[in-house]
Amino acid sequence: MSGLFFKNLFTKNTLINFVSISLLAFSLSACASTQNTVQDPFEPVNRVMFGVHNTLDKAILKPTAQVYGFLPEPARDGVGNFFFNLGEPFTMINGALQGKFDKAGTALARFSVNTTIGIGGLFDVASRMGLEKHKEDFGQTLGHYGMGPGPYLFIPVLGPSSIRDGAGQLATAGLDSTAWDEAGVADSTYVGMTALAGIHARHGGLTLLDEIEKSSVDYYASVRSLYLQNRASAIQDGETNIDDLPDLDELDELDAFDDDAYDAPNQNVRPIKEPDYK
Amino acid sequence: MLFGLAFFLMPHTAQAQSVAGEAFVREAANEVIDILTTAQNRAEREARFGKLLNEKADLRRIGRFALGAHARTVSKENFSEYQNLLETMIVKVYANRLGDYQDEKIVIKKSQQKKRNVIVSSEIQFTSGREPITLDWWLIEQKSGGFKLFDIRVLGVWMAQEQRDTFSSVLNNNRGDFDALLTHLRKQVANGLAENQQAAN
Repeated sequence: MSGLFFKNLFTKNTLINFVSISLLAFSLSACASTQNTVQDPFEPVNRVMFGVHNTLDKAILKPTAQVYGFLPEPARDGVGNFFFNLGEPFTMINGALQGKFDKAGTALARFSVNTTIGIGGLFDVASRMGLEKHKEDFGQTLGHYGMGPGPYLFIPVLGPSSIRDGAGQLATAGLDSTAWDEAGVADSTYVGMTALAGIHARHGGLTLLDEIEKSSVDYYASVRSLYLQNRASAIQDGETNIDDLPDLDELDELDAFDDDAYDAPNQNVRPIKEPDYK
Repeated sequence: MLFGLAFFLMPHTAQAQSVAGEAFVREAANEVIDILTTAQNRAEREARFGKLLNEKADLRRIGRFALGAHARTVSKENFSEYQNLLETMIVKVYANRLGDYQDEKIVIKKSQQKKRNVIVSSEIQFTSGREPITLDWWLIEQKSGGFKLFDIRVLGVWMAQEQRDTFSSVLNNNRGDFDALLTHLRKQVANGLAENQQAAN
C-alpha cells in the first residue's frame, strides 16, 4: 500500500533488494544495539523533516482527512477493513517467518473468509467468527530475531520509522507493487488506493495527534517515543513482561531529597540508568 | 523448618499481592468511569480526577522518574516547581484524553509481580461494539502498605516513559538547562488554563 514511492524501484529484483537492505540494516543495528537510550543520531535532519511533514499535514493531509471524516462510519469501517484485509498475506508470511503458525493460519483464514463472504474485504466477517485480528510485518520479524530498531527516521508523509522498520517497509512496498503489477492493476488505481489508505490512517489519528501536539513540551520527542515504544510492544505481540521493566529501586534513594535536611544537589552520585526498549 | 515454612508461604503472599493489586485497579478504574459518566462539566471532571490521582498515583515518584538522570542534579526549589507544574499538567491532559470514552467497563486479564512491583493487565470494553483497548497498570507496593499507581501502558506505550523521553529531549537539547523545561511546562499549563476559561465562557 505504501508502495507508491518505490513502485519503479522494484521489479523482479525485489527479493535481492530485500536481502541486501536487511543485511545493511543488520550490520547498522548490530553496532548500535548495545546502547540503551533512544537512538536518534539523525535528530537534526529528522526534526527538519518533521517540520516539513507538519507543514504538509496542516495544508493537505489533515484537511483531507477531516473531509473524509464526513463519510458515514460504516463506509469508513469498510475502507479500514478493505486495507487491513490486503495486509493479511503479509501477516501470514511474517507470522510463518517467526514460527507463529497459529497466527499465520488465522491470517490465512481471515483473508479467505473476508475476501469472499466479506465481499472483497469490505466487511470483517472473520472477527465476528472469532478469528482474532492481528498484524505482523517484516520489521516485526527482524525484531523478533533480536534486531534492535537502529537509528530513528522521520520521513515526510510516510511518518516515523527506523532503519529496521524502514527496511521492512521497503520490502513490503516492493512485494506489494509487484503483486499489483502482476495482477494487471492500472498505475492510477494503485496510486488512488495508496492515497486512500493514507487518508484513512490519518483520519484514525486525528484526535490523538492533536491532543499530543497540544499537551507535549516537545511534540517531536513525543511522537518518537510513542512510535518506538509501540513498535517494541508489537514485536512482543502486545504482551508486557515484568522482567523487561526498568528497575525503580534507585528512585528510592531519591526519596531522601524530600527530607528537609537535604540541601544542595549532589553531582557525584551515579545517574539513574536509562531504561531500554526491548 | 524455617525454609520449609518460607517456601510454603511465598507463593501465597505473591498471590495475595496480585489479588490486592487487581482489586486496586478495579476500584480505581471504576472511579474513573464514574467521573466520566457523572461529572457535569470539564471543571468538575478535572477536580475529581485530580483528587483521585493524588490519592491513587505515586506522583512524586513519577515526577522523579520522568526527569531521568537529571533527577539527581535538580535543585530543591526547581524540583518543587517542576513537580507542581507536572501534577497540574497530568490532571489536565488525562482528564481531557479520557473524555472521549463512554459506556465502558474494565475486565482484568492477568497480573504479574516482582518484588514490590505488580503489573495488572486489563481490557477496557465498550458496549458500542468498538474495539477494546488493552491497558496495563504498573503498581508499586508502598512501604506504608497498600498500592500506588506508577505508570499506565496504552497501545503499547508507557505514559511515564513517554514523559521521560520528552523531558530528556528538552533538557538535552538545552544543554541540561532546567529553566528551559520549566519554561515549557509553565507555558503548557498556562495554555491549559486559557482553554478552560474559553470552554467555561
